[in-house]
Amino acid sequence: MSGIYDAVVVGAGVHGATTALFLARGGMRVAVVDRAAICREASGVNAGTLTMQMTRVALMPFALEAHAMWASAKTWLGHDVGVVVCDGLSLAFTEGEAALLTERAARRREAGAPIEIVNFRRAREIEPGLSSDVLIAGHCRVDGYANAYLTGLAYRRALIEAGVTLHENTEATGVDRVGDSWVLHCRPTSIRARRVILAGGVWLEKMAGWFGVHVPIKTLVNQLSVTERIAPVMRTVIGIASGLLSLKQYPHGTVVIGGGWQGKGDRETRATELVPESLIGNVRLACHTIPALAHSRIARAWLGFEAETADALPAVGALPDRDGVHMIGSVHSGYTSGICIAKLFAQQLLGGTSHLSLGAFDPARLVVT
Amino acid sequence: MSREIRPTSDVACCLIGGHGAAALAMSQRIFDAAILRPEQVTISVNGAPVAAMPGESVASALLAAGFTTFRYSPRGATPRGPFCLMGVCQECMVTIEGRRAVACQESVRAGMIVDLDLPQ
Amino acid sequence: MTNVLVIGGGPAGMAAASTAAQHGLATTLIDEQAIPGGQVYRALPASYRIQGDLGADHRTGQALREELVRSAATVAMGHRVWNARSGFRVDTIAADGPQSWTAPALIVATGTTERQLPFPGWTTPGVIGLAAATILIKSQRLLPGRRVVVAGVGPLLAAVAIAIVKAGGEVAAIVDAARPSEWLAKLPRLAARPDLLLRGAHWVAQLHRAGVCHLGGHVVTRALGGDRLDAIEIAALGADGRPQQSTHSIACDALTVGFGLVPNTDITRLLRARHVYAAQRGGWIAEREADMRSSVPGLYLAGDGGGISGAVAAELQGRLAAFAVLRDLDRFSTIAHAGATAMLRQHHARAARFGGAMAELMAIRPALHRATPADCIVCRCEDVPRSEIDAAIDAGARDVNQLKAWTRAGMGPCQGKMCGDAVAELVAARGGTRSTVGAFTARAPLRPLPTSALIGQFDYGDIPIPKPAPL
Repeated sequence: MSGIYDAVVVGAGVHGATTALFLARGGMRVAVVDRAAICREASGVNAGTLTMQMTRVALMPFALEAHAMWASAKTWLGHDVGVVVCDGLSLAFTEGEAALLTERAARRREAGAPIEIVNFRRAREIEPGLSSDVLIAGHCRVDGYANAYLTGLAYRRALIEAGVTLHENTEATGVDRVGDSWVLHCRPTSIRARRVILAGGVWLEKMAGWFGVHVPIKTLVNQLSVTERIAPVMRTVIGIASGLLSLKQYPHGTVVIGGGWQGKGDRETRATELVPESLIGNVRLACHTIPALAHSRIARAWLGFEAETADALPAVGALPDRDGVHMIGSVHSGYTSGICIAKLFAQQLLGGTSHLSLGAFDPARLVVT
Repeated sequence: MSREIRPTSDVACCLIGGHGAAALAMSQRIFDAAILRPEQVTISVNGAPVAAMPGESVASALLAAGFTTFRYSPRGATPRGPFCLMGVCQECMVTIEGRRAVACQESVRAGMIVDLDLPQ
Repeated sequence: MTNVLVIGGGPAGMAAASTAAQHGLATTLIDEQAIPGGQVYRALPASYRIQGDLGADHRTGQALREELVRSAATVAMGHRVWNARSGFRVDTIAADGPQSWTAPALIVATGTTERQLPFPGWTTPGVIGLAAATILIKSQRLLPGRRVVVAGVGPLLAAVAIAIVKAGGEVAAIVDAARPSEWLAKLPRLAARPDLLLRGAHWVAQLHRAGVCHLGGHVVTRALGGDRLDAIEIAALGADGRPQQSTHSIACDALTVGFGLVPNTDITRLLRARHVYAAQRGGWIAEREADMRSSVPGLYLAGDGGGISGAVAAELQGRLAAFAVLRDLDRFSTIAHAGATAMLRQHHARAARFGGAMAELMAIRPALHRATPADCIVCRCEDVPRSEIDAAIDAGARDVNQLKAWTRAGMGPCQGKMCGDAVAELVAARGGTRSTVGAFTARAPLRPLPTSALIGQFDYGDIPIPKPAPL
């Protein structure tokens, strides 16, 4: 232990790392602990999609601001995560999907996302490789993607440059109250801080449990796959009305296929197992959308854990009746919106006010006694 | 038991120009009395006829026909040919009748259409 | 209703499947090749007719194939395993599409791949592995080139050189990283198999008579040529095990090079068996007890995939694994099992002594990997040079998976099988051990999957799309 930190952040994913970064830049003495290496869970293995068309209406202002942050990452983060800003298309193949898409696009447009409904011909102009089965599409110019696996590289550099003490491969196991600070017991070293910020993704439930607070967190086990490098077959970020597809081709040629298809996993053991039916369904959907993909090969598939609260909205704020203890996470499309939410959260902790209210995300609403 | 190495000059005449191929193939078939090969067949490589043995791997057929470079690496654009010959390294990727295939894991069939992704 | 699945059709897999079937188990053997044999007993193409004696190895392979055919085992050739799940379920893909196989017992006999040491120019066409040369010569009946350099380390050097000479080719030189003293030190254990030792001595004499130059304690430091190999450069190893200044170049049109064998652990790691890093047995291996059981109930390992011990030991291990399955499925009592395996264990102990000595001769040489030049390509698929790997370590990558995330090394189609050992050595060189830096996470698909074969024919309505996410 080296003195009392102003804040210790538990979990070095985007939520924890972004919070820590802005706290440190705001003058706090900050430590971050993670039981593994930085950004190796959801933040490092997600599909990197930065779309408004799968963002929840309540999160739209945060997603729009986060999109601008990602696009200018070099300025505030200092390092590149391979962000590409491009158009996004959300597709409807059936009349039912068309109705769903039209309604949702309207609601998202009201919330601030510049989405317009276009017909098949226009969609084909935007995306020439599109299947001819598309009826209509939602078109949004504020879209794009990042290279999720570069996230840790960027944040590690930024955190160290900001003077944050980063403890990787350091597992936190519990807490004790000492005076007006907290001792976070870790293997191998303990950390003492005035504030504890829990940013543990699907493990938030366990972390809140250290403080005797029960916040149920559901675990989604998302399955993704990627092709080997192929010649250009698409140039937008593609989803479908139901949300069960995300598709993009990186500048180096690989196509990442996702959309929330579920695999098998256990957050206690961190074991994951691919579900072939989900891979086949996901890839079929991808090939139905961009037929040229049928000539590729699937090079890899992997799984990651995503947190979800009971009302599928973020958990951000102070734990009730636990002085100095906060949580941030379970944002749903956390990679897309989370960096803005974390920045505003840090500003709040520094005593400032935020132009966007985080009140709806108060963890107290989720506490079960 | 007699063993001989014969230069595959009958295959050499089917080599495609423009690859700097030697008059004689670098990879030469080994002929010995103990093994009787079937009759040669013809496959198509980048549109030109190439003689090959039915049942041998497509990689072997291409090597015997004098092809050493099968493709270029995506990032560095460096020439690549077969390396592990057992379907692991993925360096011998070619296109067979429109599908991506690992040449060392595919067997030659008469009339097979093989395309190598090489600059013209 | 299958009782036991066997993955891998080499000596271990063939022996395991035959033995299991002979004793009444419903057995299925799965292998991606067209004909069983694995690496060491790789068969000729089915269309080639054998009209004479092709030597002892070929006879042994034929005998194992014939035993398998005579047994009641189902032999599923041409199926590439791309996933394995607990329970056990094995997912394969073949020419006619995907298939799944289920059984309560699984014997993994997937052998090894060859370890490579990156060096400048190793991606030049005309540079192939030692195992690759063996495949070309023995089963494809093709010489790698007219003037071949044979390089690397281990018993395959002499085997490949002899095969080239016997086929009428020219071996320009054997460039052996091991010094003669290293071979001599292993003699006592190699004597456990006097027949094989004698064969090796015979090879050495034949190569000497053929005038093949053998350079001990040397490595290839560069392969030259643009789109085809022209020559190689070599250097002597210093006392520190690192290459010194290059002193000679050798004109050649083929270089066959390999630095030992690495057990395939992708299936056992996917199934979460416990593994240990054992450099002298090939690297990461699944923990395995005397009867071939892994740490996962119902999962057994046979052959070099569980630790290098050679082809003869592999066959014995296959049979031992089958008997363990028979015991664990209650087909054999403890006494019957002990009786059936007593002789096998004796033979195995002898075979493993020889195999173990061979394994040590081809163990990884960290000093060679640490001497990889900065501009040398390490990950072939993604063209990642050592300098970028070192930069990622500078930036904080301490394990191979973080390293992979930050450099793309290991993200290409070979999934890190060519560069895995090299990358791990480079990360361990900067801190930690091979145990702490780990291995690239094993993930399905275990080989790239042709998308069209995976998806088959389908209608949009076939795709199970659940209710939409909340708005």
